[in-house]
Amino acid sequence: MRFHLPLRRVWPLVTLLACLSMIRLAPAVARSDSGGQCDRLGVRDTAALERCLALHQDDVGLLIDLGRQMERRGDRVQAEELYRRALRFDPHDPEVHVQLGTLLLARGDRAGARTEAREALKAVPHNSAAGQLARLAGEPE
Amino acid sequence: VNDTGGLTIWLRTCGRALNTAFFGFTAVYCVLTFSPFAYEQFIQPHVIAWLANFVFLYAYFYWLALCVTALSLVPVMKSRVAPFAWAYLAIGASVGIAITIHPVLPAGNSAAHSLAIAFASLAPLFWLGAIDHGSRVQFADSSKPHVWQPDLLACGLTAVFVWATYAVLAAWRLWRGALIDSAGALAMGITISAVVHLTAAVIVYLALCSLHRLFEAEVGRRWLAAARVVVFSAAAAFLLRRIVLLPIAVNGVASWALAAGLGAALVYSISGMAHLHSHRPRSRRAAVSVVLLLPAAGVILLNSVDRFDWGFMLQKLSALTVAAAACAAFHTLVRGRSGGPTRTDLGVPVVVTTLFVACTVTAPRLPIWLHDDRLDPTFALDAYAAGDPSFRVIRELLYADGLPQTGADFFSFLRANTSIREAVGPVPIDFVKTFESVQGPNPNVFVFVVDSLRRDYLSPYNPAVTFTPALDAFARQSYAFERAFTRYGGTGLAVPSIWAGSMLLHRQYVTPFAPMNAIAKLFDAHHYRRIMSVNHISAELFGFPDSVTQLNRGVPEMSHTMCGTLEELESDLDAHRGDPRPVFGYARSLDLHIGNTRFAPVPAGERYPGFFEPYAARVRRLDACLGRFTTFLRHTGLWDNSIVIVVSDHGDSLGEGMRWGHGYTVFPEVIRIPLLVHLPPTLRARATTDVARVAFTTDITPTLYALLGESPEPPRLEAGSPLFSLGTEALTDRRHEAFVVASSYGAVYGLVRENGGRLYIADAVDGRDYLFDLSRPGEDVRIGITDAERLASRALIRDQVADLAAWYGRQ
Repeated sequence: MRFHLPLRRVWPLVTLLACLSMIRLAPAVARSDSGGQCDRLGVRDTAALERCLALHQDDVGLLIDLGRQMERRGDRVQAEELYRRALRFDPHDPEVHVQLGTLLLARGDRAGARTEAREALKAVPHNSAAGQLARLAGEPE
Repeated sequence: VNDTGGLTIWLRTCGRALNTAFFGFTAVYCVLTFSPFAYEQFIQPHVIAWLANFVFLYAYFYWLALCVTALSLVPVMKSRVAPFAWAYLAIGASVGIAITIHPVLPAGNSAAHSLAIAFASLAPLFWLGAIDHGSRVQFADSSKPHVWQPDLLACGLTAVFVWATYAVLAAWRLWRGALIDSAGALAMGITISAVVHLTAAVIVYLALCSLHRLFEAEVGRRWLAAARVVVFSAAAAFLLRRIVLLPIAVNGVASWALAAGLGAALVYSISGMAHLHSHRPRSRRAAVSVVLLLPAAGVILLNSVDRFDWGFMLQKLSALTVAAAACAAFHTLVRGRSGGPTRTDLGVPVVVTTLFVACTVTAPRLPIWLHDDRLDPTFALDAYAAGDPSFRVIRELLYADGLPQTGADFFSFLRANTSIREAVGPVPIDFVKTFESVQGPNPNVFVFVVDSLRRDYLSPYNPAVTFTPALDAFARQSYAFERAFTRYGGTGLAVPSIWAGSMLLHRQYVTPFAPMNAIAKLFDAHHYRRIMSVNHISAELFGFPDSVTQLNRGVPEMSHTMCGTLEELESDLDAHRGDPRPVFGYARSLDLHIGNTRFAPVPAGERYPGFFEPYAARVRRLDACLGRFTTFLRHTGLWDNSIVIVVSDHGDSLGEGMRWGHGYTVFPEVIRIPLLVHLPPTLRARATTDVARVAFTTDITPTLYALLGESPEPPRLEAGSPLFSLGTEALTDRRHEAFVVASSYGAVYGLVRENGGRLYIADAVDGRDYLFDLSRPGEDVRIGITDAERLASRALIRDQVADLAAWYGRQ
């Protein structure tokens, strides 16, 4: 079998390939960068957390993570500020209350720690960590 | 064969169509048995009742098909293909005798057997196709065979026709179900659908035109029919693999082989039937009738399959069928319009493709230009596609692997770790090294798993619900976990993962299951008397030694109701009042399975505005029976010494985004579940918990360990942990951890994080991903996803899936 392939015979194929190429490329052209460059999950170093926080200022998880980092570095003032900021976005998050209460207790502020423990227990009556904090802070049973 | 009777040819065609349907369906049945999940979840529990009848009566159907085929072969018995026809009948009769004596359909326990029968059942289609192609059929009114040519106008008319049909239908369906945000979003969907349909039409036209041009010389024309069969077979194979096989978890080489075989057999058989009509003048009147009737046929097809579909599979196939019929009809109507392709035929595809590119590029910018977030194409077009299966299928094909979020490597990884076929041994799941010798009596434990029960149909989770008073009362004396999730969308792995207290390797099933059966180990060690529902999963994995009391014995699985099961349970408890051993009662009911609710009647006088009424009516009935059981426990003095857990193995879609059932998805309505736990007063006094913390079905078994005095330590990250602390152990801190969830039946995985407030979904079947905000009470909101979130979520899913595989010794 002999085939001759003059342009007259291959134009549909050429057009088809051109059209398919355009269709394949279109989504890439359309792509717009809709988000920031924050790897919100799995980030553990302070600089990356701060970058993320700049993009997601209301992310309570990030605020807690960064607060813990600050605590580890001994910067309790900054940590407290971060926890309090987290509570502005989610006043009922027991984990933040417990975290803040623990920090206050470590600083010697037992009344503050009791308040945070009460807030945590108000949000989640059976929270064991909050119960433990309340006991440590001297809250009567 | 000289045949002047059109009626004879039509009868012969009908006979051939019946034969094709029979053997095609035989092959499909074998494919279902080849897919472990399809076998375990469709065939074993008899979800489709007539499928069991098909298997039971298979030999009779076979003989019927053979008799019809024999009649259809009468006209060729004196032609040059007669020896092939006689041979077909002789071998067919021999096979018929053999399968009458010894049933041949596979039972799902041998992949090789399923594959062999699937391919063997395609042989008759090729054989009869060859006979039809070899037949010379001539009509008295026509001596020249009709040469079919692709026509741009016909392809264009097909696109407009199909688009218009489904656009009207989609608008009606979406507005009726309030599933689209705004008229603007609907208009956007309809407009882009028009462009997408035209683009598909020009691609089909160019492909067919290329074929014809390459074979237009006389030397090539002889090969044109064969080339057309090859190209159509390849297209059919591609579509079958994409639309049918991948969604039922048939992956890898087997999926390509099955798709190629099925596609080629169907195309060859259909082209053989078409060959019988090739000398016959095409009737424009018949074509007009087809065009007029198709919209109604499309609506009927769609409405008959949409509530019992599998990832829109049947809806997509129905749309493709309508499009194929429309294309044939329009080609008949425009026949003889021109002598072949012209310059216009070159220009139109270029214009349409440019329009497509322009739409694709501008659509994402519309929300900014028009200051309307509802026009975000990601959401607007997804919503529109839910109502328009034609748009859905073309969009998936046109954008396949082109979407920025696709991530072929990641999705390949997920598929490779899903529905694993190779033999894998069990791993020991031990929450404790040795069991404590607990002093004093143990409480009874009752675990009720309600298949497909949604949390928002229970008043403890949704104040708008007024039809579950018993569960409302139960919840007031219990703990209602607010953010409970199943680890698996779909019963197949959800139920075994409850027993194991852990995620499991994605295989149905790793056996023997005993080393992983943590709940059985607990109750054996504490000498519990077991009373359990018998179903195909518990029978296969748990086993039923003589000491276990079986509930629902002899009752078809799809008829396992909570009321019937609890009545049996009450009778058994009454009969064993003197038995000092504590009881572990386990029941799973299928009252709410989509197979039971989709067309279930609503009792007269009952109304459930805002809810799917057949489902709500069954929830009411189930609630009453659970209420009667708790009353029974109180009257018999067992209530204050019993742990009672009410949970579902997964939720269900009831029309969200036109989705029904749970299929292979992990959308919020499928993985969010109710979890209610009642504790005896003695335990309640000591236990602390955090009901607002994210909880999983895999926590149930370790929770029972803790409540029975053990000190469980989760063996892996993928294992659950206790939901209660009895004072000695603190609850694990998981509010800011990320947890993988998965579909039991497909390569679809999710990541639950931010204490259950966020759900990322990676769908490796459809090549898409989604992000949901679950933090707002009463609504699950789909939100945009950034590249960083996508990458991070995928990395976490990959890590956990790889970790799970490594646990089982897979690399």
